[in-house]
Amino acid sequence: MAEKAHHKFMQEASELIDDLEQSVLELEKERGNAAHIEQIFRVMHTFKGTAKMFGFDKIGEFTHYLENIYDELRAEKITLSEGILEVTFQSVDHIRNLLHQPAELAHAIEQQHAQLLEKVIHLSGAATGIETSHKAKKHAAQLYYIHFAPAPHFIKTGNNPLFLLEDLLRHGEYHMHTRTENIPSVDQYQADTTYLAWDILLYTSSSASELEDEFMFVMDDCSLQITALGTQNLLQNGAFLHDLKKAGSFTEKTILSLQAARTSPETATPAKTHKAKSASGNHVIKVTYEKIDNLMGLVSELVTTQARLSLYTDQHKTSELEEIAENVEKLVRQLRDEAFSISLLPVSHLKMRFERLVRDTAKDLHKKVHFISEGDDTELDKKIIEALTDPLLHILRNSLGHGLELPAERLAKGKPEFGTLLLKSYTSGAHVVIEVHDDGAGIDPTRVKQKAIEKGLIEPHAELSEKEIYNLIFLPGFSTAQAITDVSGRGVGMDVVKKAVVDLRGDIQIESTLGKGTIMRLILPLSLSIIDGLLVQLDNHQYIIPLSSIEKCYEVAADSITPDMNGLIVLDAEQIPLIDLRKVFDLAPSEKERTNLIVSRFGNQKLAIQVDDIVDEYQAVIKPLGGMYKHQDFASGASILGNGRVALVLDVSRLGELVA
Amino acid sequence: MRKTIMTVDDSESILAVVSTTLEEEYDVITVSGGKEALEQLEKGINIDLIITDLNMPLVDGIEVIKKARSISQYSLKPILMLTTESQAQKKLEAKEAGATGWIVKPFEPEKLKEVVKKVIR
Amino acid sequence: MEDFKLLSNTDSYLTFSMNQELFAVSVKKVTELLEMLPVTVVPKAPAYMRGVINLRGSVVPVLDTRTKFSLPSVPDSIDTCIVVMTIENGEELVKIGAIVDSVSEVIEIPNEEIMPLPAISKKERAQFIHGVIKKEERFIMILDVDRVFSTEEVISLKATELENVG
Repeated sequence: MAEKAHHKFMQEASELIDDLEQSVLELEKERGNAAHIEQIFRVMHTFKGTAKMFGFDKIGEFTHYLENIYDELRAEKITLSEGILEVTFQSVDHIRNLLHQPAELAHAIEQQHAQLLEKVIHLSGAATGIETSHKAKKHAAQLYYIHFAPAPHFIKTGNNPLFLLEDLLRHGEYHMHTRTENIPSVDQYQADTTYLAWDILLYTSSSASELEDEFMFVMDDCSLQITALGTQNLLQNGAFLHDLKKAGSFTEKTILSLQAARTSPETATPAKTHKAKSASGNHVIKVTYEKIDNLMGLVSELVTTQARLSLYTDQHKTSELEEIAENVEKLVRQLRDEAFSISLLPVSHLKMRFERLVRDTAKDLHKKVHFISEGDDTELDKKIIEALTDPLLHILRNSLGHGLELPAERLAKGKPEFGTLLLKSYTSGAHVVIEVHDDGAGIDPTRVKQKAIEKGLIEPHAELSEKEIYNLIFLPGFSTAQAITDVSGRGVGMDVVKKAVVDLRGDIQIESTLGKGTIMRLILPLSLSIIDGLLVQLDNHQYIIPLSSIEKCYEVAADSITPDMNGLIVLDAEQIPLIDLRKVFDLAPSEKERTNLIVSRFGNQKLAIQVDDIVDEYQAVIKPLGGMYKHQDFASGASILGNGRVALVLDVSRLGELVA
Repeated sequence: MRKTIMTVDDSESILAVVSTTLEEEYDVITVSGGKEALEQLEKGINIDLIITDLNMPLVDGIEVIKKARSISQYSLKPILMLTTESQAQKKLEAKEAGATGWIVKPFEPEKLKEVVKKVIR
Repeated sequence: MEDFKLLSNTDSYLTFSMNQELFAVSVKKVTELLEMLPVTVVPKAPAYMRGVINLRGSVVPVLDTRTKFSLPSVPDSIDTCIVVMTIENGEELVKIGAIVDSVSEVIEIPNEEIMPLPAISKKERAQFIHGVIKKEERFIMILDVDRVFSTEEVISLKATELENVG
């Protein structure tokens, strides 16, 4: 190492130690001061990164643990103790000694180092768990399975896979197999396309991340898997190697099974998979839900305040104010969306919980089922996900209990022995749809109707559409199970499921084909707290209709609206049920010549809602109406307008039921 | 033609190591912080490779990378970041910002030469 | 000593009037008094449910106490007030506002002065009334607000019917 750099380091290190000492002293006085903790962390971090390069290995090793401790402190995972302060003080002196190595103290420093090292390892172990305590040590040699498959365009990016492999294999002892199965016939072969892939077994003392580093420039242009297979060097096992060569291409599974065959079981170590992915979603910081809730609360207040600003701006029009208000509105909207995305969780959270249940339930019922899912990465508000767990569990149980047939019965019907249960999620506008499909027996409308008549839920001669019949299932006290099974007949009916979904401002629909299967469709709002809405007016009453449920708006002459005897009107050559909001809300007919029709859609259902005026679009922070208004469920909540007054938020699907 | 490398670090000693290691084969410009680096980039000086520390006070390495990527002259130049093992999160951020690769501190001077040779074709 | 005794046996009540009759509710239930505010009507609700108000960012239901008690309706006046209370509605505690003609005063009532409802009064009414007191020759009905405002029925409460009590 050049003299110049070494000199620089000594100079810098002295300054750093002085800084450190100062910060520790101040930290002792003001223990809650995050700035001091941050400063100490910084010093440790710098030492860790540089000391070894100048031959101060002990400082590097030592500060690594201290850095861990202060990292935990600044993340507030641990609190500052007397012990930590004391050790930090001792460390300051010790680092200084290590740096200058006064000859007369050599022995004492050695002893001091061993003692202090033990203390900081202990403290950082307590702080970060055992995992970190061996992190700094040189890795024991391990066996890795590496699969490297360059993307077809790999060579075009200017990379050469062979050079990469050369660098990789330099890490240790290896066995490599080149996969050639993707090479096309000569007439389709393109010289600049990469068709090869490699399977490698590598025994090395390098860590997985060091191996991964070899691929750092091509991470996005290849698929790479690096799996640690334990410390046993199978490459020294002649029989194993023979088998492996015979196998040709291999995977981590091949190795494990060959290993099991060729070595005694107790030496086989469990494999720890370390998948190198180029995806960015893996790296996360942890934030408590409480913080997210607080953030959402503040965003909601900001939205309400912004509405006031907009109103004030309308009343005091100056171009500058208007411009500012417009910007604020835009920013608030962006902030709202960002804040929302934080509180969203992927549906896969739900699926994991169900897998076990489906397996066990199917087993109990002697049914055979493949449980699969689509759209696991569809995201939903965390609160909705939590509230959906029980309803979905119930639906899955129902599908397994009533929907899917026994294997013999399925075979007799010419269906595959294994039934399929599909959990399908997708986003549709401002809604998230979660469907449970089964390919079972389907729902028999005649049986459902019969049952409802028996239970006195409907009149014997009631004329019901198929949809209405399916909806009977959601009535309290309805259960289609012929025998009360342990699985479905628990007194918890589909009415409870429906209530849970409705409480989330969602809806549930059934689609079923007799003999083919059933789809239970849950339609849910993306978020519970803020929506984009359309502000409408009847006399001096204002209401908010969620934009997510609005398809189109028409302004028409009032006398052009002529519903037929079934309350249907024709719009764009389509018959749509009309809801005259005035009539529904018991208001006197309007004298106005013009009126507005708002065509809404909820699931498969279309509705035309007639209102006097459309005021504006409005970001509505939804507040609950409370238990006193539980019967007025056509209002899913209320929102405070810019002028301080309250407007009800209408639930289109409930409105539809009101007139049905 | 000799290539030019700009190396950014708030640690004088790291700058010294990088420059002494690489100055035999390249022209090395050392810059002592993120803010100074942004100034150099704005001047539009000729650079073939940027090596930047990530963890710097005031203006960190991520901002340096982002800045470089926003200027067409540097948008395709390789950028290496200096990180420590514990900075997985930062490493990823830097990669997203447009870093080409990384060198983990502490590093062997030979390793630095190797990596630089690889990226500075 | 005397003070202490008073404290232990005396509760404070807010009195308000409607149709020239006096009612009282325990101040423990009352969270604040508001002047009349704009009320947003919730359609399809019983007549005594006047609507909802914006109480510093919360949406709070308000009830028309006259209608609730089967008293004749009158237009709101400058004295009309909203008494905001926290009541038990089933399992949960909810905030509601009760619209009253005017608020009178807070009085201290020793427990022993509270008289039970006369046996002759209707049973269904008795469950809404905590008791009756006589003050300056006037009867004041102490309401059990948890019951009064959580029930969905309209109650007939006329203090004048109690003239022969006591």
